[in-house]
Amino acid sequence: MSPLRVVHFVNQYFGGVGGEEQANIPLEVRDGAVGPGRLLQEILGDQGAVVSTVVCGDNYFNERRDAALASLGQALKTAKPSVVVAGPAFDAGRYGLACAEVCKAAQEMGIPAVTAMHPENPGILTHGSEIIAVPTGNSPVEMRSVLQTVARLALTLGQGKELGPAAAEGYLPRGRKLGMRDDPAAKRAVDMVIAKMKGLSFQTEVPIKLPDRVTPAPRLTSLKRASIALITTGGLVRKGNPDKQSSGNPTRYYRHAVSELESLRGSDWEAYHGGYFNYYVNSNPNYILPLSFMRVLEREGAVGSMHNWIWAMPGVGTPVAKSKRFGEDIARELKAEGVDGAILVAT
Amino acid sequence: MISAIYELPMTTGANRVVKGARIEHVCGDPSLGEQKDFEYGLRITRMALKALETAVDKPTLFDPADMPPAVREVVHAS
Repeated sequence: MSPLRVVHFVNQYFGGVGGEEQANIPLEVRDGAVGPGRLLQEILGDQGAVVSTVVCGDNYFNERRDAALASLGQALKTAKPSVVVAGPAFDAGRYGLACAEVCKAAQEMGIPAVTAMHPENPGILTHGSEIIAVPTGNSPVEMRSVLQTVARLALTLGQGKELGPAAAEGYLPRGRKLGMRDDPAAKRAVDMVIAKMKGLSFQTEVPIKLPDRVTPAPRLTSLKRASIALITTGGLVRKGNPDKQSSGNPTRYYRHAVSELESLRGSDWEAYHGGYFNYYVNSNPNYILPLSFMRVLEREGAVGSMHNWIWAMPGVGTPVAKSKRFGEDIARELKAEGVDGAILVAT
Repeated sequence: MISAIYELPMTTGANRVVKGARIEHVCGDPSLGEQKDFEYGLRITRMALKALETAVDKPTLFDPADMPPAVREVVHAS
C-alpha cells in the first residue's frame, strides 16, 4: 500500500519563521515536512508521507480568518491529502484556535483531520465537539508522545476507518454517543440471556478482553552493567501536583528527571491517586517508586546504574486498551534511551 | 513488576511479579520502624533485580521472603 498523503499545519513559530514578531505572516505552503512535521514523518514511517506543510502566522489566521481559510482550501485542493494534521498547539491559544479551524475546514471538504492541544486551549473550548484532538500538557517537551497518538489516529482516519470511543483511542471526548440503541439496557440484557439459554447467537455489548500472553523478556545477563528504570502506576506527582495530573484514568503519563536525587522526599513528592489511601506514600514516596533503595543497590554495585528518568501515572480506572498504549509508548522510550530493564511498581 | 496484589498481575500475564508489602506501601512497611522498614523495601527492590536476571517462561512470582540468606546478610549490613 502506498503511504497516506498527509498535510501538516503549523504556526510561524513551529514553521521556523520566527516568534511573535512574525505572527502576521500570511499562510504559505512548503513542500514536505517542516519542524515537528519531521518527527511526525519519522513516526509515520512508510505508512504516511507529509507531502506538504502549511505555515501561517498566529495573528494572520485569527485576524484574517477568511483569507487564511481560502488559502488553506486552495492548498488542500492542490495537495489532495488523505488526512490533515494540525499542531500540536499545546496551550497556545491563537495557534489552538487556528488548528481547530483548519481541522473543521478540512472536514468540510471531506478530509479527516486530527490535532492536539491542551484540553483548556480556546481551540477546544470553542470547537471541541467538532474536532478530533489529542490532549496535551503545556509544553512541547512531550512532542514525541503526543505525535505518536496523533499519528496513530491520523493513519486510522486517513484509511477511512472510524475511531472508537475517545477514552480508548486517546482523544478528547466530543460529547457524543457513538450510536443509540432501540431497547433499554434491561431488555437487551434479558434478550441476551434468553438467546444464550436457547443456544442462539447474540452480540455482547461488553466484550471481555482476555489478557494478552506476553512472551517473557530474556533475563538480564549482566545486571552489574545494566541501566535500570523505575516506573510507577501509584500516581506519583510533584508536591502540590503542578502538572495537574488526574487521580485516575489518565490521559497521559509523566516523566521526571531524578539524576540529582538520592531519594524521593515527602516534602517534594506525593501521591495523587484515587484508588488507594495515599497517606503512607505521602510520607515516603519511595514506597511506590523505590529510588532510595535503588541508590543503595547502585552504590553497592549490585546494578549498573539507575536511569535518569522515571515514569509515573495513576493506574486506577484505566481501560486495558489505553494502558496497553501507554505501556507500548513507555517501552519505546525506554528502548530508545538505552535502558536494559525496568521495574514497575503497581499499587 | 512489584505488586502487593500479586495474584492480579500473575493472572493477567505479567511474567516477573515481585510480592510487595501492602497496596498503601508496596515497597516497605512503616509499622516496622524506620530501619526495618528500609531493609524490607531494599529486600523487595533487590528481589526485583533478581527477577530481572532470572529466566522465566511464564508468569512467575518472586517472594522477597525467599531471598537467599547470604543476600539477606548484605541487606542487614547496609
